[in-house]
Amino acid sequence: MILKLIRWIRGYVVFAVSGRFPERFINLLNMNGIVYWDLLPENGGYHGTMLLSDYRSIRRLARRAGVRLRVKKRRGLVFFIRKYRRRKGLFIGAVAAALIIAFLSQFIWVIRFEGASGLSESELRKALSDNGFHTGVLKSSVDFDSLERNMLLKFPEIRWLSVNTMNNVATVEIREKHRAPEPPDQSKPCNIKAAFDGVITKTTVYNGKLETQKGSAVSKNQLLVSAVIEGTNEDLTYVRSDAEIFADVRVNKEFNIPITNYNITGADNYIEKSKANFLWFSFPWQLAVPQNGVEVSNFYTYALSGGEINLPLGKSTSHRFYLEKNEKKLTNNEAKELLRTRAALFECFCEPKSRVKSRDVKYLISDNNATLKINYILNKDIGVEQELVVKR
Amino acid sequence: MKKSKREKGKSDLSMELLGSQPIVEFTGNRRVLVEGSTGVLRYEDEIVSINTRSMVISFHGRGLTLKCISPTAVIIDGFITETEFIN
Repeated sequence: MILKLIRWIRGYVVFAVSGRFPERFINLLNMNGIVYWDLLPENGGYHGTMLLSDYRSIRRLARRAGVRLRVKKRRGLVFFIRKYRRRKGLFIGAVAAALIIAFLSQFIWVIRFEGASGLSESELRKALSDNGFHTGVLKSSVDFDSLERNMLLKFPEIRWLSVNTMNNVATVEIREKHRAPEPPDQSKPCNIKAAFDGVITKTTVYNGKLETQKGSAVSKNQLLVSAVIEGTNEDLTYVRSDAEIFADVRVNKEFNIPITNYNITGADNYIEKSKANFLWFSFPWQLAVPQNGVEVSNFYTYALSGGEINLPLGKSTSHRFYLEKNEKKLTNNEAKELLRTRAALFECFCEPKSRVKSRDVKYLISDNNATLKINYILNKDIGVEQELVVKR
Repeated sequence: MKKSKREKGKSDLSMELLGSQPIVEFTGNRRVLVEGSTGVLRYEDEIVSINTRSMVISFHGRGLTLKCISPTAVIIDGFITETEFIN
């Protein structure tokens, strides 16, 4: 490919050789170190290709070999320019294009991120923009050292950051910090106390001395596992207690909802505004008059993509939805269903590790409110750590 | 192993002879490289004759083309059916 391009730039001709001794001509070309290619036999001679500069110097050799040379095709930049020399607009356009490309090459048009898996790309873009690094910035005006330093200060999660530019593309390489989970402070002794009143059903002690037993009733704040362990020689050891103490606990929960509900819904009709983005400029192509009222808007940007790179040519669209407030009175069944859902959500997300042993449900309805009262008996881990201060 | 006088004489002679001989290397019957050529004597679709210092080598076949020519070597591509050595 490169060889073909070089040949095209230098110019080449396809020539035909005919005469009595065309082989002699080939030998003379070889002896004079003249390069030619695609030499193929033809009726009573050959045709081949050689560079324009070489072709100008082989007339003498052709005379010596007694052959006749004839040009069949001319190819290359020289001939191309000669062909279009009267079409000045073409040359002006080519020069203008070259100048525009040279000018636009001085700017950053694409910013890419690599390795930022745990960070928001839009936040990173905003932070870069605050530091003067955005799409369309002049490359020479950016202080990359200061930019990298400011980004590291802004994002403590980033361990290393480097901004590399290649042509118009800036690649921001990011390495995030790996944070090890903080281990519990094993040096401080602690007791385990009861967080609720209940009846112990299961005890598993990993460290410490159990102060209760299965079947015992315990009250809130009662010591369950002690951090003080007495040795055989009456010496005391202080440990960090670790245990799972399960107990049946009575929990009363009340859920309330108003009978008259207000729903906020997005209106079906919305206002769309679009802008075409090109380089630094954006041209609105859809105009809309904003309405009064509560609104929610979303914003999309589409860019023309060339391979993996988004080009600085695209479209931004924003949608404005105007919200409507609707009043709705719940029926008895709807209110019940809604309260049941809330209770189910409570069991799922607020008590995920507890087992429901029984629930006593009462549904009450008044003029404006619906209430669901549930008396649960939950089997749950009631132990909570409480640090022990040892004075020596 | 020691070489006898007769064997030594033989190898010297062959080296002397080989010095002026062309080296011909075939790749199947589709390509041939001739090293030590001094010129092309005939170049047609069905026959290519190469001159060397000690002989003329003719290759007969179909669709024969000179792939590459330098002052001392020639590569011929095509379907070679016959080779002729003329001293």
